[in-house]
Amino acid sequence: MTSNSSSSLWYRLAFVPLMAGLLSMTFLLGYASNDIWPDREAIARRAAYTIPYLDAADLGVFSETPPADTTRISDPVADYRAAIALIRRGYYGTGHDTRKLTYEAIRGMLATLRDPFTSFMEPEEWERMEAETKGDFEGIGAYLTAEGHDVKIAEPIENSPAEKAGLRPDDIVISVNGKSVAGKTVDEVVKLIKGKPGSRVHLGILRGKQHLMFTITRARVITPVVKYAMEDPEARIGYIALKQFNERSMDQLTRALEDLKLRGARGLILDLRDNPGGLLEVAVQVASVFVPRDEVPELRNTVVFIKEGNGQETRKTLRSDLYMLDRLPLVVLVDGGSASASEIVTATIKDYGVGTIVGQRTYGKGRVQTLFPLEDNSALRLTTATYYPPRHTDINFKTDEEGNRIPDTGGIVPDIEVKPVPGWKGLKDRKNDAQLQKALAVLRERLTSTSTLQIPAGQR
Amino acid sequence: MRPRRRPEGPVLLLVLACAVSFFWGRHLGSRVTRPRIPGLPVLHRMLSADAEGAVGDGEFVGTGAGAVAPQAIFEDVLDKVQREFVETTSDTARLSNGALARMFASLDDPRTLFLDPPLRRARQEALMGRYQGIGATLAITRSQKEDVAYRHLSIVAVLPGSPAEKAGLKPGDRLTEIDGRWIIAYSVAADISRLQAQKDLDALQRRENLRQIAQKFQNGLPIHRALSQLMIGQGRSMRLTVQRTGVPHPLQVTLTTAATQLSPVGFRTLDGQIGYLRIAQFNRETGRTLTGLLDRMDRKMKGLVIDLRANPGGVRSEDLDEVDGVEPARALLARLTPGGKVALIERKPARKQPFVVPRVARPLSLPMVVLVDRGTAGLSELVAAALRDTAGARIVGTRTFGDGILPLFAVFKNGSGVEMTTARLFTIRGDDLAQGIKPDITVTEEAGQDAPLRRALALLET
Repeated sequence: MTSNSSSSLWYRLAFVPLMAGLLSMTFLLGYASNDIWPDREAIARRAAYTIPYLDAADLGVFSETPPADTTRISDPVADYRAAIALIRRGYYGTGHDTRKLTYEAIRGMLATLRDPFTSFMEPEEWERMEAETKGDFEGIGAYLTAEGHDVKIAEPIENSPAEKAGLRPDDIVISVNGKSVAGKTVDEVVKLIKGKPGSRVHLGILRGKQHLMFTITRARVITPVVKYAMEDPEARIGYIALKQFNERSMDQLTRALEDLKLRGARGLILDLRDNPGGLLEVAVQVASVFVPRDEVPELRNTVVFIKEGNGQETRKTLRSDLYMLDRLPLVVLVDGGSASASEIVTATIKDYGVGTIVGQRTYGKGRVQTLFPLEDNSALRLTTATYYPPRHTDINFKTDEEGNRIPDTGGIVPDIEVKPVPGWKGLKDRKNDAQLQKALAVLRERLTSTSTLQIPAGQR
Repeated sequence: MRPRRRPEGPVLLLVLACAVSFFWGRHLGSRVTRPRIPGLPVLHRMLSADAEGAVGDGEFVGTGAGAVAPQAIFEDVLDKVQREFVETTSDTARLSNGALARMFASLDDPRTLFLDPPLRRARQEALMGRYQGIGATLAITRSQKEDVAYRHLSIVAVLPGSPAEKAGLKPGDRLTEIDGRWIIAYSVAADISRLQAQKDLDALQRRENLRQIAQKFQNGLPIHRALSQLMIGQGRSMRLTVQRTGVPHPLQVTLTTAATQLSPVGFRTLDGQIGYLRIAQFNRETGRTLTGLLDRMDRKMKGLVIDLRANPGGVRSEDLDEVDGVEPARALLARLTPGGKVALIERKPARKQPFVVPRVARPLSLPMVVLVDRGTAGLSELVAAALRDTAGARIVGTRTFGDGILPLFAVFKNGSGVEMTTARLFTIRGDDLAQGIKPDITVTEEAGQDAPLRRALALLET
């Protein structure tokens, strides 16, 4: 009995550390297994993105990079640590936490690369960007904007709770759930309004002189990235505007095209103006919708060549299963705001000769960014590769020695250059949209000349 | 007897626990971006996450995956930039400079200035009395007008014999252009929000205005670069546009940069009975010369004039003795005051501490007059106030600059440096020296004749 109970005690005593050891071993093995046997999904999460934004960095005025002293060998980590320590020990002011200082240091370091597309995103920005590339978010479905000290509704999203409740552009938000939003920034107000689908939010709204109350049930809102219409019902010319290349783009684009074809579209306008880009993979898919395989043999179905920093070049090719255009006459509208993924699609359509490009020189961004999520939920967006269209032309704009863009360099030059006319008030103003009108004219002419040739007698 | 347990139960449980632990580890492992290091990546990751002690504080970001030290994030980004960026980035000094520049700029303190290596060298030389460029000390000052925060490049002290003095520049002058190039005085965001506030513009006009704003800022001279042009080099001719208070139109002056050598201390005896001590700035050499001079000084003199005009003060330094001005100032005050608390200094907001000088056996006790002007700044203001408040000195001249700040000067491994606000200065009565010192007797300078000095001598004669 005694020997038995003591051995059981030993057994128990040894059991705990043994188990703990075993479990941590397996944990570490699991952790490490990613290196040998990578988690495909995790890799997908780190997939390459092309830049979806043109922001203030593009003005090129923030890049104030001090010259370096090349006679010294530098260890940026040591300098960073010394500076953090110096600020903590010797700086008069207070309230500067290490995390914020570190983020600033990272931004400063990235600025020296003089690459307008490389940036650092704090956790909140990264979260927002993830939502944008996914194309949906949880909330009421309205874009907010700041104007002076007010936070306003810029635009309710179609079919969103906000639109159904009757929110209108220019409504001023004055309270959320009974609390005043005076002095709050747009981001803070957005945070207050967002929440779990199914929950409710009370908004106090000022519309003109009217004070209104809205109770809105939040939902999962899908941001529309496609707008489409039968632009010219007589000539049956369809119009599709693609705003961004995100995870919803293909879905919405193919549905729009399907619908236009059902309604008998005989020609199509693809509007990529002010489309800043998005996911590279989606660009390849969108190009595949418009360009059939084996159209130009020597281009070997290439959509894009991607050249990594180390000189390695890979190729992405057209997908046969996605082609939908059925050889309808196609005009692509572009302007200086068409960048990145938009330029990939435009260049592919141009290089394979399946459409006419109308508008203005595109932005000129032939760089691919990779998003690296970092351990504290911030993220690094780093330019890691250059891409080239099917005919391998360099579309990057050139910069002078101060890093400023040289005008009229890079980008894709349209087949027919059309500038917007003064007084044009944006996409909703169809009549004054000189580029759109030109696209329609081009297609009408094509349709009248080809219809007489192609439509066999007896079908009419 | 207890029922004998069957062995399968615990074994199954153990296997299950191992599996859970393995996949949990795998899940967490897949969430982090991993260094591409062959061999033992796990060990590397664990070690780098452990380096948090290096920065030496307790504020880490708590996340699902555990707290992460900011330093680890910095290291991770640096690693990715060096390995993955589309162009090669071998210039680590440049990366490091960029990081520090932005970090210090984020403190949003006009008197905290990151110094790139050439500027740091020039500044360090200047702190030892060897100036280049226009030969004036400069400060970035701020003002606010219609919601826009302006930053100005202002002249503090104009050094005797410098190009700036010959061109007629004065303390308090604001430099707005160099060779016709605008010195960027506010953020581009101010212009953009002004543009956004204009409602009556169509998209085209808006785009054109935006382009013009971009152009204006691209052509402008960042304040940091303006500072380099003004503080570094010799023999370059430049045209400066200057705003002076009380003068309605901007002035244009042309000068050629040159070396200006300051002898830190000058002494002579005037009228046989009155000592005249001029201190140009505070650094180690000032301290050595002063202590030697004061220890040998004739104690029977009728009085002492201490000239602190155009004296920009000095800096504190932790490891560069030759530029540190605090100890020399303390040594001076020890010999001219009864010692003890002579002023107040604030190392952190709202925490004033006494500025204490040692009591020496036989301090000089002479009737004293301190000469000051608009170029008397920082540590010089503290010295003037301390002499007035604890040794009965009278102050003659014009109101001082009103700097009230002690900078800390430091150099980093990559050759850059920083001058950073480390304390604010107050008189022993608690008056903020940022307001400047109003002299007991205001005497303005007149061309050709040193009116303040003559007034000081007259005071001491009686």
